[in-house]
Amino acid sequence: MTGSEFIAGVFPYITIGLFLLGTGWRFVRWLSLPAHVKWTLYPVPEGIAGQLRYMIKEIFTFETLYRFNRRLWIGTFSLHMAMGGFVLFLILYLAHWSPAFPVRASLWLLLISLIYIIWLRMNDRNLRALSTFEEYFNLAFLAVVAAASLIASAPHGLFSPRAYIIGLLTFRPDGVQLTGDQLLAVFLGGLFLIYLPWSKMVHYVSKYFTYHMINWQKH
Amino acid sequence: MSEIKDETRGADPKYAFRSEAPLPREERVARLLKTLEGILKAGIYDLPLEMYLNTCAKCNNCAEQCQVYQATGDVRDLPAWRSNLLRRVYRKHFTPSGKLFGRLVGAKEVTEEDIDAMVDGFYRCTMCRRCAVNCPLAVDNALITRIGRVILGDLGFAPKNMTGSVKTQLLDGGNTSAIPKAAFIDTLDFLEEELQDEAGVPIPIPRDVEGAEFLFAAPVSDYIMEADTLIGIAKTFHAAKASWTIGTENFDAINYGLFYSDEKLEKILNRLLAEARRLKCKTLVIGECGHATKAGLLFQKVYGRSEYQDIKIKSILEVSHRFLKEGRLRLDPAKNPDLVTYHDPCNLGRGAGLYEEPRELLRAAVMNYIEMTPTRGMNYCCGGGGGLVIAEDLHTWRMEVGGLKKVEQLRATKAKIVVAPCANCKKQLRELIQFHKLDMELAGLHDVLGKALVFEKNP
Ligand code: SF4
Ligand code: SF4
Repeated sequence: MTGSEFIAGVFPYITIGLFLLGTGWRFVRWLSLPAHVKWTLYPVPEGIAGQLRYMIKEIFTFETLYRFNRRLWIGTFSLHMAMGGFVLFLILYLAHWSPAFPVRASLWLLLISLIYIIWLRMNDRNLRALSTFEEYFNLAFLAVVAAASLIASAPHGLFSPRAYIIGLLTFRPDGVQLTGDQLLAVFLGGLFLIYLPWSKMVHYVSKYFTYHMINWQKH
Repeated sequence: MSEIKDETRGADPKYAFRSEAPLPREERVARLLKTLEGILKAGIYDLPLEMYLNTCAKCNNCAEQCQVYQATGDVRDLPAWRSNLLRRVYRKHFTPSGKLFGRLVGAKEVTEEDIDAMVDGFYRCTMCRRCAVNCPLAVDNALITRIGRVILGDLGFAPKNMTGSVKTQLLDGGNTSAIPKAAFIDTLDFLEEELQDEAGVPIPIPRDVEGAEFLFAAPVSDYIMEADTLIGIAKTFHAAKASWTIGTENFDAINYGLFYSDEKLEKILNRLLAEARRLKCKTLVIGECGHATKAGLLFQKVYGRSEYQDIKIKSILEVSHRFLKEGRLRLDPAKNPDLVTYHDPCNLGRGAGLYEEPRELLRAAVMNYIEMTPTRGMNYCCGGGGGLVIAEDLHTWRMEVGGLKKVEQLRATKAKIVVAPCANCKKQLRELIQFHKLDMELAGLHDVLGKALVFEKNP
C-alpha cells in the first residue's frame, strides 16, 4: 500500500474511529463524575419541554452571545451554521439532491467566519486579553482545513468527490485517483477530527453536562 | 536560575484587605498546588469543577453581565480572565496536555505574583453568578472564584474580619458577634416587649422548646442590626400558629465558611444541625440570610453528618410563603402604602430559586410594588456579595465599584423602600443608600410583612 492509498482509503476510517472514541471517552468520563454539590442555577427552565426549547433556541440562534457580544456572535453564529450547512449539503449532494455549489459555499462561509474571528480576537482589547495560543491555534487549524477543502473540492478533471466519499461510506474505498491537494484535505480534515474531542472545542459534548447535569439539576 | 530568582523575589504588594496570617511568600506556591490537588482528590466538586476548568470558550460574554466589570472596564475584572488565573495552573499541573504542551494549551506554572493576582482578583468577584446565566457553555465563574478563595484561605489569605468572626463563632457556645448567652436571652425578652407594644397582644419568642416543628436561626447580626426583621418573623410564626423555637445554645446561622473555607463551612453547619437535633426539631429554618441559606441547602448532603441528614433545611421565605398559601396570615396592605421594590439576593435567587415566594408575600403585604429592571435571574448583585461586605477594608470598593450598577438600578425604580431578605445585602444596600444619597429606605421582607399582619386584640 502506498502512502496516498493509505491516506485515501484507510486513514479516514482511523479518523472517524478516533473521533468517536475520543468523544465517547469524554462523555463517559464526565458521566462517571458525580455532582455531589448541586450547583444548580435558577431559574431552571420548566420541565423537559422547557429545557429542550431553551437548548434548541440556543443551538440555532446563539441567543446568549447575540445579546451580550454581538460582534463575536456574527462570526461564531455563521461559523457554526457553516459547519451545519456543510454537513447537511454534503449529505444532499451525495444523495444527488443538491449540486456541489452549496457545499462549497458553506466552506467559504466557514473560512471567512474563521478569519473574522481571528481578526476580532486580535483587535478587540478584551478578547485579545483572554485569547491564548490555543484559541488562535484552534481557529487557524480549522481555517486551514476549510481552505484545503475548498482547494480540493474545486472541479478536478474527471474525478468526482462524490464517488470517493460514497466509496468510503460503502466500505469500498477507491482513492487512487485523488490528487495531491485532495489527499492533503483528507489528511488535515482527519487530523482535525482526531484532535477535536481532546481540544476545548469539545463543547458539543460538555454543554450537555453543564446545562443538564449541573445548571438544571434540582435540589 | 533559581538562586537569582530567590534574590530578586519580591515582597508582598499592598493587598486590598488585611489577612490574619498569610504564609511566608516562598511557601505559597507549593501549598497552593497541594491544596488544589486535595480539592480535586476530595471529589466534592467533581463534575462542575472539571467542566468549568476545562471548557471556557473565552468568548467574553460574561463580562457584559458582570457588575464589577461594568463598573471598572478593567481587563483584570473580566470574569474569564480572572478564572484563568486558576484554570491555567490547573491545566499545567493536573492535565496531561498542559504538562506536555504548557503555554501552547494555555497552561502556566504558578508564581508568587500569580498568587498576588488571585488575592486581588478573587476578592473582586462577589460570586453572584450573574455571569453564568448567559454563558453559552454554562460555565460558572463564581465556583472558580469560590475554589480560588478556598485555596487562598488555606494560604492564610481571607479578610481578617471574616476569619476573626469565624474563630469567635467556633468557640464553645460562640457566635460571630460574640454575644453571650445571657445577653442574648435579654435581647429576646426585649424583643418580646417590643412585640407586645406593636401588636397589642402578647407574642412570645419561644426558646429551647423541645419537639417544636421549626428551629429558627437568624444571622446573629440581626439581633443587633435588624430587630424589625426578627419582630416580623416572630409575628409571622405566631399568626400562623406554628410550633417554633429558638435554640439558646446555638442561635447564629451565619456561615462564612461558604466564602473561604470548606472545613469551616462543615463545622459551622454541623453545629447548627446539632442544635436542631438537641431540640428534636424536624426543620431548621434559616432567617433572612442568603449565604447561610445556600450553605445549608447546598452543602448539607456533602458536609452534614450522616445522623443529621433527616433534618430539613428551609429558608424563612419558603416557610412564610407556605403560611400565606395556607391562609394562615391576615394581612392589611394599607399598613405599607409606600412604593416598594424587591432586590433578589443572589444566593436566594440564582442560588436557591426563591423568586416568586418573596414576591407573593410582598404583593399581599404592600399597596404599591414595582419590579427592578432587570429582575429575578438577571437582577444585579448588591455589590457586597461573596462575603465582601464583611471586609471593612473593601468598603470604598463596594460603594464605588461593586454596588455601582445596583445604585443605578435602585434609583430608576423611584421606590421609597427596597426590600432585601438577606443580612449581607441589607448592610451593603443601607451603606449604598447613604453613600449615594438615595431617597430610599432599606427594609427586610419580614419588616414589611410584620407591619401588615393583623392580630385579633381579644383572644
Ligand atoms: S461567557 Fe462562559 S465561555 Fe464565555 S468567556 Fe465567559 S465563562 Fe468563558
Ligand atoms: S460571579 Fe458576579 S461578580 Fe463574579 S464574575 Fe460573575 S458576574 Fe462578576
